[in-house]
Amino acid sequence: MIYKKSILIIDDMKHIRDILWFSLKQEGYRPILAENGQRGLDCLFDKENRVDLVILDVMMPKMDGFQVLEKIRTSNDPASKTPVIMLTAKAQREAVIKGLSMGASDYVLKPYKFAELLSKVQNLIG
Amino acid sequence: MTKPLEKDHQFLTRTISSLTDQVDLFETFQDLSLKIISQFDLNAIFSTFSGIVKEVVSYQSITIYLFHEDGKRFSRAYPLERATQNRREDLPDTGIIHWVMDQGRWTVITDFLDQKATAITSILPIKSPRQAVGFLVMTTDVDPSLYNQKLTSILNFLASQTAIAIENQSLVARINNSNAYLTNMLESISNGIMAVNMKGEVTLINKNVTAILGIKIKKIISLHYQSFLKGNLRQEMDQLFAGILDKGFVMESMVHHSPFKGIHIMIGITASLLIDKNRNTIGIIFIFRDMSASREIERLTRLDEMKSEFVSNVSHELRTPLSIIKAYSEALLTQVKPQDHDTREQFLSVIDSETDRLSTIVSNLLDLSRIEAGKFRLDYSVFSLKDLVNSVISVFKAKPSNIDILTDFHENLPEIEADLEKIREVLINLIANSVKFSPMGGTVSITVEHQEGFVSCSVSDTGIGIPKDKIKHIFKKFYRVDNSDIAEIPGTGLGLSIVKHILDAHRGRIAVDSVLGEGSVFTFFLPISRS
Repeated sequence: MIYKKSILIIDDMKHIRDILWFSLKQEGYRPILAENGQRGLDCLFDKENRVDLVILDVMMPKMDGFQVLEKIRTSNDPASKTPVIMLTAKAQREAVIKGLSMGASDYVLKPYKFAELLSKVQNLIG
Repeated sequence: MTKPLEKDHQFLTRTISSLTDQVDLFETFQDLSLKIISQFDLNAIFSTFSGIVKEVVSYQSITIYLFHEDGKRFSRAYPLERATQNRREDLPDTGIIHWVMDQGRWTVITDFLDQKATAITSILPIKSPRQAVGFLVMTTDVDPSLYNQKLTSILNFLASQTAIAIENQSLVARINNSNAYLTNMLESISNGIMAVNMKGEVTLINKNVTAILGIKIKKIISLHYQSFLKGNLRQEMDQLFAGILDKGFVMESMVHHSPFKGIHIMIGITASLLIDKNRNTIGIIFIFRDMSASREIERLTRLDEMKSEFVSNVSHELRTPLSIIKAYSEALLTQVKPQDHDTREQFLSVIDSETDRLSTIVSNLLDLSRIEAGKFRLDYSVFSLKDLVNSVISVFKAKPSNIDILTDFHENLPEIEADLEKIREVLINLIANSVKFSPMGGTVSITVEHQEGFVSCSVSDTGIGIPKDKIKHIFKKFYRVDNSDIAEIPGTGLGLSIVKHILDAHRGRIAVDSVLGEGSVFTFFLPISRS
């Protein structure tokens, strides 16, 4: 049986989670969904799960994407090295630079082209 | 034996007479010096002085010169215009003048050998114990040395009294100048400044106090502040007055004040103690500031912050449905299999509802720009509010949701004259809010009633409610209650401000009642007809 790489999607918008789940599944990945930053972190650091990549939305209530990213990168858990793609509606250069300097692996701007997101996912985890 | 007695008698008579003379002389001196010293105006001093001189010496002309501050140069001070009969200025040589000043007494300076001299010139130094103030040049027909010693000493005395009077006058002028300087400063300060003594009576005030506080009384000095300040302001002043005497230093406070009918301003008052050089408290100084300007700046700054927040909200609000529409249509085009009808159906309905959301945002933005541009017009027609409510909720009911929408229409509802499309917008905004702010599901009830000349429509929900302190802000443009700790609820902060604007334009109104965590009720009232 071929192992399916798993992708954790952290986004507060249900429609976005649903379509990413649908599209990534179509491409042979195993998507895991989290509707806020805390759920996402719980899922990432859960030993039962194995997460190969995180797709992280920036604009979220309570804990935004930057805060989630910081918590991932500063933890002692082996999962802290997981590649992260930031999904941001903030087209501003500053937001992109901030994400990358905090350790994001790549970024995709909303509204995104799925083909672009897919190729970035493939570059990182194949 | 009578002879020595006679002698004694004569001696006594002479002595008494000379003593009487001296007493007379002293009295004259005192009289004259009082006359001169009591003058505080330079011209009055000079004319009194020359008048008295005229009584003792019959002169042809006199001229008074005053030294400059350097004590060397001098210029004519009296009379200012040269008398016409004076053909030329008979001003003696500077060296001679300074020599006479050093002598310090009335001195004749005409050269007697000069046969052509038509008059005799003499100089009377005007010297105070401190300094040489000036001198008087006098021309006489008769040789002044013929006058007796008594007269000379009277003149010298008069001159020294005049010097003191001139000195006093310049001190008074300096005090007046610095007073005027302080008054100018006081008046040019844009705040109101008022000092009171320990009894509360005004000792100093500038015009801005009357302007800021709207006081109409002209003479305020020495009135008690309680006699011209009323209401809030007087209470606040009483508290400050008592408080500062009790606690000392400086106290600040703010008070609402209405200086004129219909005008309300916020006044900031600073009170501080007035202390004299012996560290005794002698009064209180109050400074009044009109805070309206600083509050206006605060308001504009806040508006500016809300606008930039709005721009970032709007771009997020526009991008989110766009991202969703883009992602779903892309998936439909490339990934969803043609035979997978369920998925196609589901994705298309997401696209449909997100398109509705986009169009609401866009129409709100357009409304706002029309309102801002003053191009907001109503297009009146007569219609049934009940039918409109039903048509609006049918759209909401068509969408899958976990919210029940109930209606309650009272009987015999009249038709109303209003702008149908604008009222539709009001209903959409209010119902959409109710649904939006009930994230856990619940019930939205819409009730339409007929009241005297009005119809009322209330939209109530079982949602998250509005914090009490935020209710008064929710109709402001761009305002959004920060409820991020409850749920992320999208919005631009425009809906309710547009709703209010539409109702205001119809001469209607809107009321809101809300309990945090239990729900909100928005009720709007519309007149049945435009007139």
